[in-house]
This record gives sequence, C-alpha cells and structure tokens, in this order.
Amino acid sequence: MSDPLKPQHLAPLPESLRKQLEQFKKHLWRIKITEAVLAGILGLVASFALVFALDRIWDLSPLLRTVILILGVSLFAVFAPLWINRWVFKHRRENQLAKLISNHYPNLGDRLLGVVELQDQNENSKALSPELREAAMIAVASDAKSRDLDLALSSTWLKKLTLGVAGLALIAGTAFMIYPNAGKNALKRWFMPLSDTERFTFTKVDLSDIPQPLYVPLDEPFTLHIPLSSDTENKPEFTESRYETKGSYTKWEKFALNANAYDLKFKGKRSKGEITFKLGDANHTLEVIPVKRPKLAGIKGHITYPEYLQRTPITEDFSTGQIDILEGSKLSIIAKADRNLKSATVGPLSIEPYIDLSDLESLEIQGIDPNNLPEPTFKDLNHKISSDKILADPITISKNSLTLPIKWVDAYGIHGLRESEINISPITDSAPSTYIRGVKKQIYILHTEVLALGLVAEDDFGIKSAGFDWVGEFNTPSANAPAKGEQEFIKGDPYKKNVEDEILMDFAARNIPPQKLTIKSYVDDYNPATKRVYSEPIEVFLLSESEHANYQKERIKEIQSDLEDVIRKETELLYENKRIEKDLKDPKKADEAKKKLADQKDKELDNKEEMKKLKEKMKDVLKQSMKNDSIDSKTLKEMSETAQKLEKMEQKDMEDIAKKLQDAQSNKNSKEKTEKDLKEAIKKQEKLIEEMKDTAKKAEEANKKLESSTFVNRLKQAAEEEDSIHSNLLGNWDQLGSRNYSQLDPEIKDLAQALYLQQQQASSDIRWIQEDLKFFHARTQKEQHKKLIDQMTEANIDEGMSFLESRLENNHTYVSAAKAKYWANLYREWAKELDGAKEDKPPGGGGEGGDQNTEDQDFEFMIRVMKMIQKEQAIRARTRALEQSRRDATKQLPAAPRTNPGFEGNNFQTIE
Amino acid sequence: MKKTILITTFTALACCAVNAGGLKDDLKKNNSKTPKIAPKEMLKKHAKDATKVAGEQDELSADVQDLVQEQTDPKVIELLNAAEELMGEATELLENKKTDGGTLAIETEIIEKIYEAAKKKQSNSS
Repeated sequence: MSDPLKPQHLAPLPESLRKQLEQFKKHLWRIKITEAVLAGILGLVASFALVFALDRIWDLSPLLRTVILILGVSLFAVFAPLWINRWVFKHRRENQLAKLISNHYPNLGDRLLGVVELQDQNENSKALSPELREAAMIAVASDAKSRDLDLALSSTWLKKLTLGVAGLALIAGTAFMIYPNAGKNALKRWFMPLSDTERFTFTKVDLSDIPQPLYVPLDEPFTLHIPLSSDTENKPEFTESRYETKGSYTKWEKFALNANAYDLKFKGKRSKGEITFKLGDANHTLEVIPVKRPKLAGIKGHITYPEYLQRTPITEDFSTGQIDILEGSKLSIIAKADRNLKSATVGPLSIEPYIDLSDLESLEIQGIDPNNLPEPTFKDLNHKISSDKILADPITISKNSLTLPIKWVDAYGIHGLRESEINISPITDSAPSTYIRGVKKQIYILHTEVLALGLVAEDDFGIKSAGFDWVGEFNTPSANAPAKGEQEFIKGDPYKKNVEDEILMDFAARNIPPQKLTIKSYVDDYNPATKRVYSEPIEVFLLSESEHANYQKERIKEIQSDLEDVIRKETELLYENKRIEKDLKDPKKADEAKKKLADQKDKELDNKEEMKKLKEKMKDVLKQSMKNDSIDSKTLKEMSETAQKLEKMEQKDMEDIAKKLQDAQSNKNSKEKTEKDLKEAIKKQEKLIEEMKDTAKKAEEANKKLESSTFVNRLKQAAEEEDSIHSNLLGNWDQLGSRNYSQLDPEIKDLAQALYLQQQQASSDIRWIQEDLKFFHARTQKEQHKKLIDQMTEANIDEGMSFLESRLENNHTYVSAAKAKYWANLYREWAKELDGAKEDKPPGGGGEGGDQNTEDQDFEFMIRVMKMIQKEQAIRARTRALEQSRRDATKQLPAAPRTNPGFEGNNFQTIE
Repeated sequence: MKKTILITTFTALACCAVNAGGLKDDLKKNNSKTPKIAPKEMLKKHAKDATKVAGEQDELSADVQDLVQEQTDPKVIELLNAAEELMGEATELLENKKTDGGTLAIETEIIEKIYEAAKKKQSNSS
C-alpha cells in the first residue's frame, strides 16, 4: 500500500529503481548516524583520556577541565546533530540522493535526476510522451541496477572513527583497569570539572600538618618537612622545589627522600612567596609568609601584698626581668606578646633556698656547708593563654629567690627567639627608723615653755604611726611620780614611707612639773613582727623658774670664763704687737717684724670669731632669761648691756684693729705709715682690753644679781607655797577636821594627798635653797648671805619640814595650817632681808639723775614689752599645741570625719 | 612603868594599824599606772586648757592696759590699745574653745602690734 504520507508522483519510478534508491538511502543514513554516534563517543572518550593523561602531569584547573569536557561533549552535542542533519535530513528525497550519486556516477546521476524530475511532470502530447518517459525510466533503472550505488556514498569516517573510538576506549579502559584509582579520580574530575575533587597522584604527601599559609621566621633559614602519605603509590627518590615571589623565583633544587619524607631547606626570606615542589606526578604549592619571631612586649606582675600591710593589690611593670618583691606577697606574672599566642611553656619555677651566710654557726648546726650550698629545687607552675597574654598562676613569695623561664609559640606556630627568664628576689619588710630633728641632745627650758621637736620617721613599707615617748626623772627628791607617757602625733598609712612634722610639746598642759625628761621618738610599721623602733633619746630639762635662773647663771659663768680667754688672747696679741712696733724701729728686724703683722691680723680675726660666739651666747641667755618672771628687770638690763658691749667689741672694735693690722702690713705703705697704723691698732687694742675687763666685771655683777635675786624669788615662792597649803587647809577645815586620814571621804582624801605632795615639794625646795645659799656664800662671802644661812640653821628647817609633812600625813589639820603659815612668814621675812641688803641698791636709796631715770624707764618699758611679747608667744605656742591635740583626739574618735581633707598627720601651718 | 611602855607601844601599833592603807599607800596606787588618755578625755582636756589659756590672755590684756596708762606717745598708745582689743578677741575665741588658725592669726597680730609699739617707743627715745 502506498504510504499516505509519501508524496504521490504522477509517474512513479520503476520499482526496482525505487527500491535501489531506498536501500541506498538507508545505507547512507546508517553510516552517517553511526559516524555521528562514534564521533560523539570519540569526543567523550578523548576528553576523558585527555583529562586522565594531563592529570598525570599537572593539576588541571577546573576551568581547563570544563573546557575539555565541553569540547568532548560538543562532538555529541553539536557535531552529531549537524552531521545527521546534513546526511539524513538533507538526503531524504530521490533528487537529493540522485545528486549524491552523481558525485560518483555523474552520468547516471544526471539521468537519475532527470527521471526523478520526470515523475512529476505533466504528460502532454506536445511536451512529453508517457511512453518515452517510461522508456527513459526503465533505461535508467536498468543502468542503475547494474551499478553499485554504495560506491556513490561519500567517503566515510566510520572505520577511522570506529578504530579511533576502539583504540581510545581500549587505552582508557586499560589505564582504568591498571590504575583504577587514577581512572576513577580522572573520571570524576572529567565528569564534574567544577567539583573540588583533588587530583589523584601516585605520589601522595601528607600536608595535614603544614599550615596554610605557612608562616616562617623572617630572614631565617627554614626547613619544610614533607612526609609521604601512608597510601602513596609512588616514592620518588627526589623532589624538586623552588621559592617563588612576585616576578622572581629561585632555581629548582633537588631534595632526596629520607625516611619517607623530604626536608626542603630554604634560605631566609623577607617577602611573601610560594614554595612549589614536584615529586613524581604530584605538584604542590604552599604559600609562605615570613614574619618576625614573636617577642614579649612586656612583663607585668600583679602583686597582692601580705594582709597586714593593708595595701591594695597593684600591677607593676617588670619588663627588665627582675622583680624585687616583699616576702609574703603573692605574685601573678602577666607576660604580653606582640601577637596572639598559640601556646606557652611557663616554668618550672626554680627555687633557690635562702641561706643566711652571715650566721655560719647556724649553718653548721643545720648541716649546710657554706662552700657547697644546696641545689635549687623545681616546681611546676600552671598558666593560661588569653589571646596575646600568658597568665601564670600566683606564686607565694617566701625568703627563697625564684627564677621563672617562659617560652612561647605564636598563633603562626613560630617560637620566640629565646626564652625569657624572670628573676624574683624577695625583700624583707625591714624595721622603720626615726629620729628627732633639729634639736640638741640636751635642752634646758622653763617648764612652762612649749618645745618644738621635729619628728622624722621612715619605713620601706608604710608607717603606721609615730610619736613621742617620754620618761621623767626628778633632779631633786620628790614625792611626785616622775612623768611617763607617750603620744601618737602622726597617723601613718600603708603608703607613707616618710613622715616629718614639727610637734609642739606643751609640758605644762600635760601637767608635767619640772624634771628631766628623756624623750624619744617612736615609729611603728604595719608588720606585726616588727617591734616599735625608738630614736636616740634627747634630754629635756624642764626647769622651774629658780632652776632656770640658775641655769642662766651657769651659762653666764661660762661666758665669763670664755671672755677671760678672749681677754687673755687679746692681751697676748697686744704684747706681740708692741714687740713688732719696737722691732720695726730696728732696721735689721723691720722686715721680719712686718711679716708677722699678717699673722697678727689673722689671730685678731680668730679672736673676733670667739667674741662673736660669746655675743650670741649672751644674747641667748638674755632671751631665755626674759621668759623667766623670777628674773628682775635690772638683772635683765645688765645682761642686755653686756650683750650690747660684746656686740660692739666684736663688730666694731676688733674689726677695726684687724683692719689696722691689715693696713700696717701692706707693702704699698711707707715705713712711717706702717708704724702709724700699728700704733693706732695698739691703742685700740689697749682700749678694747679695758672694755673687755669692764664687761667681764659687769657680767660677774649680773650673775651675782641673778644668783642673788633667785634666792629672794625662791624664798618668796616657797612662802607662797606654804601660804597656799595654809589656805587650803583652812578652806577645807570642815571636811578635813581632825579625823584620821582613813576616815576621810574619798574626795577629801585626794585633797589631803595633794596637800601632802605640795608640802613635800616645798620642803625639798627650801632644803635646796639652804644648800645653794651655803655654796653661794662660800663664793661671795657676803655678810647678808651668812646671816641668812645662820638664821636658816637656827630655824632648824629640816626638822620643821619633816614635822609638817608628818602632820599632814596624819591629817592634823590645825597644827599643819599653823605651821605652814609660820614658815611662810619666816621665808618672806628672809626674802625681804636679802632683797634689802643687795649691793646694787644706791646708798641714798633714792633714784638716780633725770636722764638716767628716763633711760631706765625706757629700758623698763622695753623689758615689759619684750616680756609681753614673750608671754603672747607662749600663749600662741600653747594654743597651737592645744589645736594639735584637739585634732589628734578628733582623728582617733571612731567615726570622726576629717575636718581638713588636705591635712595629714600634724602638718600644722606655722603662722608667723 | 611596864604599863606605860605597853600603852605607848599599843598606841604606836594602833596608829600604824590605823594608818595601814593610809595616805602614802593611796599615793602609791595612784601613781602606779601611766594613764592613756582617751580621745574624749583629750577633748575635755582641750576645752579645759583652752579656758586656762583664755585666762592667761585676759591677764596679759590687763597688763597691756596698765602699760597704756603710763604712756604719753599717742601712736604707742594707739598700738597698745589695738593690741588690747585683739587680746579681747582672742580671749573670747579661747573661751569658746576655738584654737584654730583664726585664733592663732589674732595672737600673731597681737605680737606684731606690741612689737610695733616697742619700735615706736625706741625711735622716740633715740
């Protein structure tokens, strides 16, 4: 049946021809389709084979593999369709077949083409005869039948393709079978070129331990250790490698296999690069970045002090590597590197045992040979890493010295160049020290004076407190207990290492009567094991008015004695000057004599210095005497005059004499001038010596007056004491009565005790007056003193005082009061007698001349005014001392706020 | 005789017995300790001593008054009167237990005033 889809021809071709053509067409199609398929397969196999082969040489990039795959697939995807289109679709019709046949059989082809066209030509008696057409067709068919139309098929690649495909498939297959792993890997990489499938190599290395990028120490040779993998199929004897940086590279170097690995050695590198190494079919590239070795940027220590120190923990820098730290502290080392760290090795801690080499005996007892000290011991120390810091565990510091080594590895795996070593030396909290600044070892003051003492204290780890401690001792027998006390004046704190303050000691305010006080400053530090430390003591003699006057008297005596020395030296100088004056007249001796003048001048100046010291001393005696009310103004006047004279002699007279001697010895002078100057010097010197003697006499008189006046005052004072006892007894007659002491009310007992003590003191005073008077008389041999001594002896003072004391002790009030009054009156009478008998009272008993009176009045005014100033100064000093004690008390109160934030200790502003 | 001796002896012994625990023993007890002064006691003492110093200041003020009456130079009198007035102020402060910088400053001024008066007097004399 005819195919309804096939075109119907008007004159179809003969069946044989048609069949022939049909066969031809089918054959053609078969061949071409097969070619297309084979080409596609070839493309695939070839691309796979290419990937397999190239992968054996180098690591194909995904892009390249993709290109190869695309190319391979393109034969299937592009070539085959095109081929089929050309040979199948474009060779479906007879005319197309006829054209193809005509390539081989031109004649037949043309005729065939003609009969193919005749199939569709309209019959027409005029144009075409059907019989002719049929005859033509039969002729062509018969011709075609005798021909092999297969020969008209175009050259075919079938064989080649078949061979090619078979060959490649065989090779690939064989390779696949021989190297299945490589084959599978190549297949995978070929089929999925964009996957990250690693290239299979027969030579495998284990790069798992090699970081990427690889950091190496800057400019230092390094070795790259490349071990072969355990599953490697190939172990090349050598590997080649080189270092590549931007635009340059080193030459290839060979490194031999050694123990299943290769050690690639490189010189120091400064810039980033890549190491490429080839071993067998494996090629690897490693990025290398040279960096500086990590180092410690700083070492700090977090110190927690022993609790007793009351200090807050601190962090200190110890970049020097040496740490001196207080024994008993805890130390945490913090080492900071210049980059993040991966690991560190801290320790072991080396502990060098402490041996006191100064105590050899103790060492011997312990069995330690000082020439063979024990070795250090070691202790592990834990630590943590925190980014770039190494935090070591705390170390408790004992007496032993410690050494702590630290090593570190940074995040890149690079070690520090060398380990760091920290040396830790313990220091002990040594005892504090203190001293009293700016005062002499012995000080003599009135008991009412306020004494300024500089308190200085030092400690290496904080002063807790500092103050003064005093212990008294009576110079004369006394029933009172000597003073004993201490007071803290400076409150320290854990951070104060040095304290210094001027402390005003008001002894009168502390009810400390006249006595010798041994005062020491003390300091405590925070260490409970340290005992209080005291300074060298000073002795402060608190003098009563009479004692003070006596003391000034003694000082005047010293001045007198020193003045005698000055006079003696001045006299010697005078004699020598006179000798020189004589020798100057002798031409043989003149030169020699003149040379001596220089020496004389120097000696004069030396003597002037001595005079200056005397003047200063005298002024001080005057100043101190003015504080003592018991020294009368006339005596003070004489002291003042003496001081003025000494000053004049020192500043003017002796200066003039020295100048004259200087002028005399001048080489510019003529002989006459020298003699004249020397003569003037001698004259001044003679006058000076007279003045000195006169001054010495005045000083003697002043001293005598002082001494004398003190007796008067002392007697008056003793009388006042007895009067006071008398008044108190009478005033408390009701409570005291005549009862036994034990029967008295407790409050009245206190009064009785106080009166008894007062009497004891008064008794002691009068006994001393008696004794001093005896000595005084022995020196002065004055009648009035002798008379008084006799009177005192006659009055039997010793027995009288003992009697009075015993009455008071037994509370015999009436008798005690009467006796006290008796003695008061007697003392007053003696004082009056002594006062009235003084030498300096003018014979007429009246005043002196008018000018002298005015001068005396002015002097009297000055003295009064100076005393007022001194009293006001004393008031001010006591006010200051009160303020100091108020502040101390306020500070010691439990929750007392500080009144002045800037006030520390007793730093008291001196208002002048 | 014997009786007299016995009585005398007995009296002496009785006195001793009576005086046992007597004045001297009490004195010994009182002086055996070194008292440590508590802060509150120190403040009380401060108040008491300030009053004492106020008294001394007042006395000195009276001395200045006496001195003024003996003077003729108006300037000297003026200076001494000023000093006396300041002493009054200082006395009041001390009586109110004030011993701080203010009080000390007044005391310094007093000294200066008296000193000036002395200098003025001296210059008059010369």
